[in-house]
Order: sequence, then C-alpha cells, then structure tokens
Amino acid sequence: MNLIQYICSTEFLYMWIRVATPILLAALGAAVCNKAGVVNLGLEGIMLISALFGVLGGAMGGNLFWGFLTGVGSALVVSAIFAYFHLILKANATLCGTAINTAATGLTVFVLQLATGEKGNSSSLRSFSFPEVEIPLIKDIPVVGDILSGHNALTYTAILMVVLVYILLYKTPLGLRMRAVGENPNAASSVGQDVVKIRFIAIIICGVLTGLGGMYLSMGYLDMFVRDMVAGRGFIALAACSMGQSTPVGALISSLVFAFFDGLSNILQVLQIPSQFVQMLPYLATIAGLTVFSIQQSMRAKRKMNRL
Amino acid sequence: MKRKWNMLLALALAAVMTVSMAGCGGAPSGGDKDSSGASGTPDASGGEDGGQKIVYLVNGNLGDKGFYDSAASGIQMMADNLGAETKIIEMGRDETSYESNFLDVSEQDWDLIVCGTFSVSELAQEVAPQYPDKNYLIFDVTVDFDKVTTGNMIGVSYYSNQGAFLSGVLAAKMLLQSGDARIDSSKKMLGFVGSMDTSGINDFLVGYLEGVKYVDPEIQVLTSYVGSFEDVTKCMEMTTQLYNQGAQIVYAPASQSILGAATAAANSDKYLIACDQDLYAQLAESDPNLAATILSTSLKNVGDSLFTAVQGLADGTMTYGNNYTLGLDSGAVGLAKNENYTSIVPAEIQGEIDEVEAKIVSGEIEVASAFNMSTEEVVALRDSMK
Repeated sequence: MNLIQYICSTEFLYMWIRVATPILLAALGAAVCNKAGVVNLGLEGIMLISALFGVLGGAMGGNLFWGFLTGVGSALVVSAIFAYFHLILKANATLCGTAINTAATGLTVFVLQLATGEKGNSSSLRSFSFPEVEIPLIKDIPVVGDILSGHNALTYTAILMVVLVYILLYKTPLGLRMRAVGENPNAASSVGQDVVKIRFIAIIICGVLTGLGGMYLSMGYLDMFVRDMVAGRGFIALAACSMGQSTPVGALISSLVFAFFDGLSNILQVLQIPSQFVQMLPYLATIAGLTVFSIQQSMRAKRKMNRL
Repeated sequence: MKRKWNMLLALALAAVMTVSMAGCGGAPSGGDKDSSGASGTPDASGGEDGGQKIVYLVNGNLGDKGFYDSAASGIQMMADNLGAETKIIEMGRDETSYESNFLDVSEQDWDLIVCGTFSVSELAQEVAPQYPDKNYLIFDVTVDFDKVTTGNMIGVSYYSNQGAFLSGVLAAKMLLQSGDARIDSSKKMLGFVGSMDTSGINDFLVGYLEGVKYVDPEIQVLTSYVGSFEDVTKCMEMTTQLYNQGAQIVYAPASQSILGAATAAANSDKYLIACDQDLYAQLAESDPNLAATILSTSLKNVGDSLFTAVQGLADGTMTYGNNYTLGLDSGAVGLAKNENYTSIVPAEIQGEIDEVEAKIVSGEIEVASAFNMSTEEVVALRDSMK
C-alpha cells in the first residue's frame, strides 16, 4: 500500500483524531493560562496525576463517575498548589511547573504502589473507561461516519471545549479580564482588576482541561494507568499552544498538525524508512511550523511599517 | 497570622514532596536506606551462616512485567533460598546517575553487585577493576576480559535469538496451518514491534525473522520501533497499525510498553507473542481479556539464571572471570507453554515446535544473532522481509 493511499484511508484519519485528543485538551488548557499571562509548564505532571487518580477513583468508587470526579479533582488540587506557589508565594512559574512534573513521576508510582502493590501499571484494578460514542445520523454516512463517529466521549468533549474556550476568552467579561491581565497586568490592576484572582481562575480552568487530557490516556486510549504514560505529551501540548498563538482555534490546528506527524510516524516505519528519522518527524514539523510562522509574522510587521 | 499559615502549608507540601520522591526510589545515597517495597527482606540471620550480601542495580524501573521484574524475582530467590541479604536499587532511566550509584555500592560492604544490559556494560567494566575485592555479576552482556583483568566479574548472557526464532516459527506455522478464526491465512503477513532500534532488541528481531523464514520465506514481516521504553499509547498505536496493514500475529519485545501492544491485539482481535516474562500468567487473573490474546511469550528467565549463577559461584561450578551464555538447553530462554498456548495452538504445531526446539539444542539449526551482524546487515535483512 503506498503512502498517499494510506494517509487517505479511514483508518488513518480515525487514528489522527484519536492521537490529537490528549494534545488538544492540554493545549486548550495552556491557551487559557497563556492568555492570562501564566506559562504553565506543569501540564505533563498534571496529566500524569489525573491519569492515575482517574483510574484509582473509578476502581475505588465502583463507577466511571467517581473516576471522573477524582481525576478532575486531583488535577484541580495540583493546579491550586501551582497557583498558590506561583501567584501568592511569588515563585517562578518555570520552577513551579518543573517541580510538579518531577514530583508527579515519583508521586504516581508511590500512590500506585500503595494502591495496587505494583510499580508498573494498574492492570490489577478494575478500571472504568469513558464510553465510545456513536453519533446518530453521521454514523450512517459511509466514509465520514467511520472517521467521525465512534470516538471516545472525551474526544467529542475536546472539540466542544474548543468552542467553549473560545466563548470564554472572547465573549465573556471574565475572558476579557483574563486577556487584559495577560497583556498588561499593571494596567489591569490600575483599573481595579484583581490580577491574582483572575490568574488563579485561569490556572484552575487549565488544570481541568489538562486533567481531562490525562484521563483520556488512562481511561480512553488504554483502560489502565502505566507509569510515565504521558511520555512528553504535556510538552508537545505547550508547543502546540504556542504555535497556535494561544488561541483555541490555533491550538486545535497545531494539535492536529502534531498528531498528523505523530500518526505518520506510526505507519512510516512499516515502509522502508529508518525508524530514527521517523521518530524525529513530529519535532521536525514543529521547527518547520515555527519557522514559517515567524517569517509570516515578520513579513506582516514589515508591511505594517511600510504602510506607516 | 496569614504568613504563619503560609509557612505551615509550604512545610506540609514539602513533606508530601519528599515522601513522593522517596517513592520513585531513584538513587538513594545512604547505604542503609531501603528502597521502597520491592526490595528483598533482609534475612534475619544474614551474615551469620554465610549469607551473602547482594545488591542489584536496576538501570530502569521495576514493574515492567518483564525483564527487570524477572531479574528482581531472581534476587528475591537468593534472599529466600540462600539466606542472602539483598537490596534492589532502582536507578531509573537517567544514565547520568549510574556512575555515582556504582561507585557508592562499590564503596559499601556488598559481596556481590548485580547489574545488567548494554547501557551499564561499559560503566560496570570500568568500575570493577577499581574495586578488585568486590565481585560483580553482569547479565545480558558479555564481559570483555581483556579490559577486566582483575577476575572479579562474571558475565551471564542469553541466546535471546533462540527464543525469538521459536516465536517466528510459531507465528508462521499458526498463520499457515492453524485455521484459527483470529488469523486470516490469505494475508501472508506478520508483524514485529520493538522498543528501540538497538542490538539488544534487534537480536530478537533477527531470530524472529529467521524463524519465519525457516517456515516460509514468502511471508512478509512488518517492523516498527516505538522509540521509547515507556510510551504505552504509542506502542498501542503502532501495533494497531501493524494489524491494520495486514499483520496477523505480532511479536513484541517492547519492554514496559508491551501492555499497549496487548491492548492493540485485544482491540483488533488478533494474537500477540510477548517477550521476556510470561505475560499470560501475569494478566490471566487481573485482565483475562488481554491475557487471551497472548499466544505465547518468548521467555528470558533472567531471574532463574541469576539464581543459578549465584548458586554455581557458591558450589564452584561457575567461576569469576568467565562469560556464560545460556540458551534453550539450559531453559534460560524458550517459549511459554501455558494453558493458553496449549488450548489455542493445534497439537500438530506444538509437536513441530518441540522438534525445532530439539534441533536448536542439538545444534542442527544455528540461529543468527544481531550481535554478530553489522547494522547494515540487520537493516538489509529487516527491509528484505517488509
């Protein structure tokens, strides 16, 4: 089967959406944070922690609802800790984020071992996954139905979140305040805005979205938690968010670009292309994307200058 | 008042952090500190009736349901059966921490320091000559005794390619002859997913490809590498792609991410051949749905071999300063013939597998090894089967 044929196949397009979901959710979270002027480097750790607690909560509580609640709850707690250290104790955001990531690696293994007696994975627990959803009407359309229907509930949630985050940032007073605080915190506070409070809210929203992304890995993709399962997706999401200029639609597009190359790397090896090159592709695509983007930006800036 | 509360909270968080860091078990610097959980219980009478003090430096993490867990079970056997005082230190994947760990344990009063795989090979062979009064056992690696002349090191390695060869034969025969409902024999295609494109993993690949070729050179084998030891979801995607493109059975020396391959097999309703430790036995109770897809496992009984080596050293049948390579004949490698295997694989094929096994033991079949091949040769062989 040649490459073009394969990329156009329903299987690839279906996989593309599946691979993009966790990156998109976390990238949306990062977008909210970035707009409010906080760079949240702890996405990776938050994803990992919520992935574990989602599974544990489900197993302890006996149903998916508890899993969902615990997963989101844990993401909230970690985000609140991040916000507390960064906003109230004025610690450096990069430092706080790194601390969360480092702590998450150890914490998840520690908790996993307490709960299951195993250090590697949670396969001994009965876990609950988010259901796969068949969309009525669309699922009956031949090719399109195979691609768009039958995804995990969280995938559709992610797409819905693009719209919700857009509305939040651009159509609500809170969104306006977030953007104002992000653009110029001093100006915002001079007109009576509580910078700390608004940023706190942004970090919490980011935490919920990122937590959903983490739970997708352990409760959608697989039905178990495996140590270090996030494997860099939090950082990719950060990059996707920056590439998309911290806008929800931009985050969607750049997540899709990343997922495309990630998906491509899954199939390219089957052809006779060295695996090392293939594994490089998603990152190469990032650099190429950023280069194109910055060239565009500088050209636009020049045009503006000329007009003046 | 508010400040006091802030202080308290900060302290509490710091405490939580410390506890969680201890959980990851990375590089404890103090010698007396027990790494959490999986380490062997020190024997109460250790030291009195000649119980040895044995430490195992894991250059990864336990809980992989494979290689490292198997090694750790061997260490546990030494504690249970030989009255040894044992300790396991998980060094994680951070290779920069390895050297200080090696030097630390070499300074302490351990009788035997155990470690394994290529990523610590060079380091161990540098450290051992510096501490001639300490003994070292390295597994999955052959020691270069031109370098280590102090006679305090023993190498235990495995013919992984023999187990992989059997997996290849099994996969090919199941594809052609079994008529199993999960196998579409009209597509003459098999798959291989490895964790990294390194000679350790390629040793499995070469054996597997030779095994497939031994049955029918016409069969295609699709190969992928995850590029990570941990990325389960990536491993799942790649394995799914192999099945999607027509591979009927996939062989997966994929380290810790192997559960991703098993999930892919369950989702695609296909069979998987696992690697290192009997994955069916490990999952049979906790996840029967996944376990049912595990046709067999190419075993690498690291734990047993370590135990045998330590016993051999004690009774004089094995000595320091030598390399021992263990294969099918000693039971160090082989196929897992569990109840799943015997119920899925037709008796006829089982018989043929046993015949091939006997031929390898007798030397009639000689399996090529990636360790004796150049990278180009491995690539050429791999591409010729795609």
